Amino acid sequence: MIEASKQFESVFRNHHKLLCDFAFNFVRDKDAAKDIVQDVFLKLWKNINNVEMSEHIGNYLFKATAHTALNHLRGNERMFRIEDNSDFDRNMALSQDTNGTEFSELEVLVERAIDRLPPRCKVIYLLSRHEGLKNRKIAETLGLSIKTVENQMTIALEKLRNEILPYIKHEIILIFGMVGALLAQ
Amino acid sequence: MIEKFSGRIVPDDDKLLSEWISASVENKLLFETLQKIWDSTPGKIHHPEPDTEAEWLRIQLKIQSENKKVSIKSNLRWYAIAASVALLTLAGLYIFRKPAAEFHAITFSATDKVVDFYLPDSSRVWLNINSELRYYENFGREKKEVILKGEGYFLVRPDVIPFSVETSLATVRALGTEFNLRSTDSSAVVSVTRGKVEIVGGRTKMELKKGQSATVSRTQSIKNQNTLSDVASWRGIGDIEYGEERRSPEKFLMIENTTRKNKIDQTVVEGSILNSAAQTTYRKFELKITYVKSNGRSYTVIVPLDGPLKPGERISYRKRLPDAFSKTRPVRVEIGKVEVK
Repeated sequence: MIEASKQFESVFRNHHKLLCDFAFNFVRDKDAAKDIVQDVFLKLWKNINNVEMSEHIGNYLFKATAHTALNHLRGNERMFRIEDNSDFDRNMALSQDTNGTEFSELEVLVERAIDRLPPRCKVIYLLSRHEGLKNRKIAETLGLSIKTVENQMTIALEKLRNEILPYIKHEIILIFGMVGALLAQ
Repeated sequence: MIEKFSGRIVPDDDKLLSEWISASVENKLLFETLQKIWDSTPGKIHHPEPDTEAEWLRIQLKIQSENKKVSIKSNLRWYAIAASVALLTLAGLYIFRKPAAEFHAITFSATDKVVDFYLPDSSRVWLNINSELRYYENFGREKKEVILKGEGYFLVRPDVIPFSVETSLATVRALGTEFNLRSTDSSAVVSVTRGKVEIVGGRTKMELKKGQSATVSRTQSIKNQNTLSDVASWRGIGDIEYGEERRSPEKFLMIENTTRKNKIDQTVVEGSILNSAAQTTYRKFELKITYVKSNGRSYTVIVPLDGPLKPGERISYRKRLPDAFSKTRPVRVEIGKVEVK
């Protein structure tokens, strides 16, 4: 039993920061992100006898965090107006160091639009865009069918497109039905 | 399309996509728009203040409150120990209640003095200077595990539940024994004074009996035959119990004797004396033999014995009384003067 708690501590220390990053990208709230990671580890601790602390633990933690973040988003579905949230702009400012350049206006727009996506949609889109996961992997991570994931991706792109369309130079009226059909290919 | 954006698209699909794009202007624009969205999605950002250290403490507290269901029985025992240890309050003794990840951890530390105390199962432990022993709340339920840093002497109560002491290099398992265990960064040395232990360390597993010792290092393990003499001589430093051994040696020198009459009708008193002290060695001591002759007078004979008699050692003696042809009433054998080392 003594061994288990030592292992648990080392797993915690090895993965904590990464999982906070991961959760933070979904919920955009530093405290919420930390709470999510706490919940994940607490759950791991409760199941400590059933879970093997092997190298696959990262996988488990990844899935658990995605799930927990999704639940959090669902629970907090306030109409969160990003323009009013100073935190958001600060976040954007803080992450400038990743590539040194400032976020363009378009990027800011897309960011806001993503944040306005429905929870499941948002998580799926970010898993695809940030983590580079294929639809099949996303389905497995969240326990959904591939079809659901594909549909949600379609919805995500459609919504994003709608949000930014007024701002893009090339404006053209597209048939919405066509969009749906084409994206499903 | 996402495959294309991510740069993962396979050639066949790429061809299909290109065909689709060039099929109409709308297609092309749609593609470009979506590409723009994809590319303009800001990359993953980092959490500004993960505070891993603080978060680790926070989760430990949460786990602790999860585990607050402690059985009353073990709780009482803990308080009993706490009370008796509180009485000891030597400068060198500290108790920590650390919020351990799974159960409450109870830690005993000896800093500048040797300390001794009892474990919840009444096993006794002495800790040498700069040593530490820890066990968890669940001690004694299914296992009896303690973690030792430094040096300790263990008097383990016989029990069916196995007792084990874990150190960085080796773990010692015992069932009703006495042994000394010294652990450093590079080695673990076990010396057995009573009973049997099993020592597991690195790639080896050894069984040791009384009088044997073993040294386990990272690379090897060696077994030795040992005299019991110097085992745990460190315990003598400033300890209450050992004061007793020095003040009242007669309590620790156990006498065995038989009497008989020899051919010329002298009483022969013979037997052995065992030094049952844990630590003190007795240099010289006297046996006082008191007897009453048939004339009714009592006489005392002093038998001087030379030591040194170390803890656990036995010395034999035989004395013929000057009571030939006399009916001597029962003889009393006691310890007289004792010189302590």
